[in-house]
Amino acid sequence: MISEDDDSYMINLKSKDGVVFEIQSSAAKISVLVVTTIDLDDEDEYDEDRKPTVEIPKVESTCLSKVVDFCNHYMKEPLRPIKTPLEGNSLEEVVTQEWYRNFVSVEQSLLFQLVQAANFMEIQPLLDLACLQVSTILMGKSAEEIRVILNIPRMTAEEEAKARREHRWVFED
Amino acid sequence: MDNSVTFNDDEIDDDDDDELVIDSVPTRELPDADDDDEDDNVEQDNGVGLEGAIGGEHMWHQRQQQYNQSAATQQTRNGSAVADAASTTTVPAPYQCHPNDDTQQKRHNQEEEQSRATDVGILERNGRWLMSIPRDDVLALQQTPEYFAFLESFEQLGKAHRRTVVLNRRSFMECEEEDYYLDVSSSSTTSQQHQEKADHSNPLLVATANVTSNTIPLPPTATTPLSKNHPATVFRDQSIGKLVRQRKKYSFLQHLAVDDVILRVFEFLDCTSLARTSATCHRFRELSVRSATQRTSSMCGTRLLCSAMKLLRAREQIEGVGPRRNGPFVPVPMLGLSRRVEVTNSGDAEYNGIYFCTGSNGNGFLFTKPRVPERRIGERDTIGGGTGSGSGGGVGTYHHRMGVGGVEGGVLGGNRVGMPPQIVGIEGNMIAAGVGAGGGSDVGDDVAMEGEEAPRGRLLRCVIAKRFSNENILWYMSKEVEDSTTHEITQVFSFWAKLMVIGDATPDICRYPSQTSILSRNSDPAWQPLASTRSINPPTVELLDG
Repeated sequence: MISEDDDSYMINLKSKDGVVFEIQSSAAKISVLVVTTIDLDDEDEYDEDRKPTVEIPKVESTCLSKVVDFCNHYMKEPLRPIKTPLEGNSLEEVVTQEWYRNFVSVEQSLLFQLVQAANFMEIQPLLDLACLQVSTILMGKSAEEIRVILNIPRMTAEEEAKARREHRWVFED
Repeated sequence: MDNSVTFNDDEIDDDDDDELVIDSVPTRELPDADDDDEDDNVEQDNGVGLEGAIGGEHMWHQRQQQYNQSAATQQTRNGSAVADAASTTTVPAPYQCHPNDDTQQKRHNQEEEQSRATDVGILERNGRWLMSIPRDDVLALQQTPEYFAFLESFEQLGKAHRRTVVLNRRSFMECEEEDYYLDVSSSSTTSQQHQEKADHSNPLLVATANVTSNTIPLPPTATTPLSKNHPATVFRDQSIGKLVRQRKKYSFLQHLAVDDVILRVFEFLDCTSLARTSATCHRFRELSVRSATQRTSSMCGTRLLCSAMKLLRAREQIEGVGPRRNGPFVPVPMLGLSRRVEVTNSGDAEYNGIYFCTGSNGNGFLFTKPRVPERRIGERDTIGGGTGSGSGGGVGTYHHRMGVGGVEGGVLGGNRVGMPPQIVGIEGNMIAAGVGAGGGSDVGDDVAMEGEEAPRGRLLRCVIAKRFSNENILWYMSKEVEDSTTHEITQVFSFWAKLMVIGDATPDICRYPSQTSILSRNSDPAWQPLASTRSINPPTVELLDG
């Protein structure tokens, strides 16, 4: 568990649209991208006046601020591992920590951005949590409802027929 | 005249604009249908009328050419940048749709679908053909001028693809609601109303509207003063118009998320949801199958389902083919009994539910169901995350420590692996373990083929299995319990029943746990509690899927 006592300095994260966010190095360690970009363990080279800046070119500021919130909170209360098979069909049943449930209860565009950001910054707990939320949205939906939710164009007629034929036992139910 | 397009599919969504995404591009030459066998087979198997695959392909293309030429003329005349099948403009001959001619309308719709299918299938067929070229032939091909022309064209196609993808990605991430229609685009009332209806009918689109003020710069060619009737202009306008509409209908998961991310999402889906997702688009279909394969790889491995060669060897062993003394030998995979067992009315609610045949012990088949979802073997409340799955501490190990009759939760015989422990039944009989060996053989581990330690994260189960009681063999109902400190797994027995007799039931039925309805026929008591569970109501056990 990462504790605040381990942290000694601040670093900057710069979003795609140029907004800079400060974050403690101990919190930023959760991101493999940040860790590999700058040497967080080498405190000797740290300069108070020139904080290291990591550019996150694929993440907008609205999303990056959420990512920073996640990292800061994770430092205080790490997310419990999500076990498969899931222990329920809803987020409330699977994620018992309220803060994290509220964190991913956002509009879908922001949720998708979080997925992309977590993947890009290699933050595994955030990726798991965001992907879990996406999957709970899809659970129990028909193929057509999933298409609407994810904005997917239809398959070709014969391909859809083939897919339904392969899993006829599911669609008959 | 109302020429709006309708569909036969019952699951059609109300957003007609979905069809606007699919553009009608100028006719292209189809390759020789040498490798259309797959499509032919599909058509023969399920009767799907894929006219473009055989027979009517040539005639269809002639009609398509006529349609596209007429459509192009029509579009330029109207000044519209969008040529789409769902347009409410007049459809030129030969697809003149009479308002009351549903049959012709349906045929037109089917042909549109088939044209899209054929367009997509072209690339796939060409790709498969390229991959099938023998290496020796490639060396010979490299000496031809067509080979280099192909490479150059291929590179150009790659650039076009990247350009298209980049443009689409920028479209998605930036403004959604800006008025981006070009000067040449149609601003007719009909299309505006159509677009407005589409926007409002799609809650996702409305909810995710990006209100940033950034607009997408027009491609340089868009401002080139070409004549409106010029084919390049028409095609460009059609393509740009398509992109304009596409950016409003973008799917994040389909186009922006990498496969690993989508697989991670799919990993959390149950089978039914995963199967439904596979019927949404081509990419999801492939990834859902891959996800299912990944999640069942261990099961396939232990049951030889992932190796056809091993399965063949197993079949030979059954049929007595091939070497019998000297190897190679493989275990013969076996299928459990197919019918489900339903337990109800038990005073201990954990026993109620549906049981499946998941393995066998030395006395016959055993039937199990998970106790409760959160009861997993070998897990501590570790906090560290990052793995996405439970990473417990000690591994649960099986020991034949059983609850003692009359003393709930007590132990008789201690925890000695390899020693057949004994418990006292209701009649004072000693009940020995079916097989005295260590490991999971008595519980019939449904994953391991041989006695192994229980895998971490596996759910604790309720078990129905046969055991000996002195010289009698009986059915017993038990539950697995894990010691919180030592992580040893024990079985606590709760109920028992006599075996069904052949005559009262068929031999097939007698392989299953005794059914209450059959035992009760002869006024025999059905399932009964043990001494330790005397105060608990015994269950009712019946078979399903009869």
